[in-house]
Amino acid sequence: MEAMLAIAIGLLSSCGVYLMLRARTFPVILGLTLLSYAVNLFLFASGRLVVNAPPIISSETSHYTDPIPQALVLTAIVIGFGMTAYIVTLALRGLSESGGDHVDMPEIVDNNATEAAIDSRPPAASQKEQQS
Amino acid sequence: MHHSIMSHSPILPILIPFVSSMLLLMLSSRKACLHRGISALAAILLLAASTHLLLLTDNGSPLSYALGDWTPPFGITLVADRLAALGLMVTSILAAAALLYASAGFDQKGRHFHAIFQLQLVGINGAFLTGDVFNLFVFFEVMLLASYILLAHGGGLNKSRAGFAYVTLNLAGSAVFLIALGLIYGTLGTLNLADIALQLQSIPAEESALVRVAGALLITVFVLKAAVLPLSFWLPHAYAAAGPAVAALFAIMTKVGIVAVLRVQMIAFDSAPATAGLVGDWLIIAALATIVFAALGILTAKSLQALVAWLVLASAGVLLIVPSLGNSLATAAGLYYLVQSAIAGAAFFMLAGLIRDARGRAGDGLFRAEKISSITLQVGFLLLAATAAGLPPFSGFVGKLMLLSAASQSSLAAAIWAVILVSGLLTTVALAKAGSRLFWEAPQEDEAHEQPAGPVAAGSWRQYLSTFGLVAVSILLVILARPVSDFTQRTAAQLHEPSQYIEAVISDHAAIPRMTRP
Repeated sequence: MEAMLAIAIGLLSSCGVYLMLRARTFPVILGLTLLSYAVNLFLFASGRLVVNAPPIISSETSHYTDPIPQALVLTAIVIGFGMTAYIVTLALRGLSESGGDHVDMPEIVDNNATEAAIDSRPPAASQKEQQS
Repeated sequence: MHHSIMSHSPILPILIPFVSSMLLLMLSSRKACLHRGISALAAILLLAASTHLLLLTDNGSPLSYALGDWTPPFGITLVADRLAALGLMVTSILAAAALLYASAGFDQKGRHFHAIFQLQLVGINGAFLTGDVFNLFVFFEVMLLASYILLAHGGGLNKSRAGFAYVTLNLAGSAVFLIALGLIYGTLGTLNLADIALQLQSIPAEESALVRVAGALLITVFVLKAAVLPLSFWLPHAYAAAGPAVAALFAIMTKVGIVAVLRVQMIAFDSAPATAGLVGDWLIIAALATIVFAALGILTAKSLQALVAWLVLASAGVLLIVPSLGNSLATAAGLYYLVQSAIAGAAFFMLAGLIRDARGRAGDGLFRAEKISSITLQVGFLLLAATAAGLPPFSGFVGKLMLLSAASQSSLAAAIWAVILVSGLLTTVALAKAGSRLFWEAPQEDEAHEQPAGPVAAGSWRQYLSTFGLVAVSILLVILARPVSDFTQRTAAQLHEPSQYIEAVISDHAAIPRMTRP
């Protein structure tokens, strides 16, 4: 069972890292999601893998599973869910504002600033431009 | 345990912004002045609570606060030591100034500014106070989620683009953080920092591989927040894209990472045989490289706000020298430098915003445009530039001097001195160039006629008051250098004696029942 879980974590995280290195926003978000799945499984395993044992104290058994990692995973899932929702909206906003979903588009300087930069160039430069 | 109201003071810096944030969300449809009023009240209460905590911790041992009265290490513990109190004090000063600055109109450029701002304070204050590493993760996430929203506040394509990269990087960082926490829990069976320190003692050196990996991953995540090279490329973009008031608060966020490194290293890692020397050798190289990288960035910055963002990165690099030096004197010097660089950086971001408003269309771009005739802005720029460049007699100089003299015993002293001094020179050159571009060089006569002046907004009194209030604090740090550095020395002494922290949290180590695990 340990080997299976380890393979699953490894597969998920390698796929996640591969997708995160892609250049479009959608695969990047998918990659982040896969990575967070891998991390959640990993957190589960930190309490050791125990089958058929309760996480709460009961009089019928002396064999328990560790409840803390389950609480940690729940917290991590909730936080990851919120983060994913936010980054999806951010990507959609970038898409609607720029018309593309590339993660690394050239930086656009403030429109006003560009104009002013052109206005204030030394006269030699603007003359050359006019001649050509 | 005595249950007076005073025994709850460690949690107040988290509760005050949290309650006001919820209140602001509930009243989000009301008028702006109500939001500003609640926010201002919360900022004043936070200042009072931080001052109270500072005085309380200065006189005694660290205060431990068990949430829900669960005995540590079960349940979550908050620990207010001098380091936490110092961080809280700086945060509450910056928060008050940033809120005043934003109340001039920036807060109305989007919704929920004040509520999110208070949530960001919850995250920062919690990260300073918590004594539990998983709780630290949660507060980091609260801080980051709020910072994502504040970064995008005010809109614009640059903001959403810088935002996407920033969010992606930090989510990847969170994944690494969780892996580190899983490893720590899997090997040590605890997430309470004081208990981690105790458990680490019993790990023999030959079985330390997993613990060392966990520690290294944890430090990596912290230095990602602190933006050390090669994890620093996000900072200049993100900080240059944020609104001035937001960037001013962000000036403390890199410091949160540095404080986390210091705390984890001093309390838990350094005194244990398994993890001793985990940080020392490589972090100082990365820190020096960060300073060089930032100095080059300062020289190439195209706008004043971008330049200040690079300055913040440079100060983060200087601070990350401290954990490697590992002596109390260096830590004290580093903490003084942390305070002064956070205050000066925030003031500089605000001044860049004022200059942008004063120049109209040209913004804060570092090229020739209309001159700024305002004497106030010129004096402000001069003071802050001299502080940032580390020129005497300003607080940047005092901080650097203390750090350089503390580093003189290190084996890398020559490298540290050379890098800090040369980067200081490059910073001075870049700031002098920026200042003369902004204030002295007028555009050619013929161009001046063609170019309409553009809308020039006079800054509101709120913006001026908050900016120059921070400048005044920065000057006060020089005048009161002695008491402040005395306090940072006491803080460093407490950090270098982890038993104080551990005993405040866990009184009887042997009495804790533990489960033996396969």
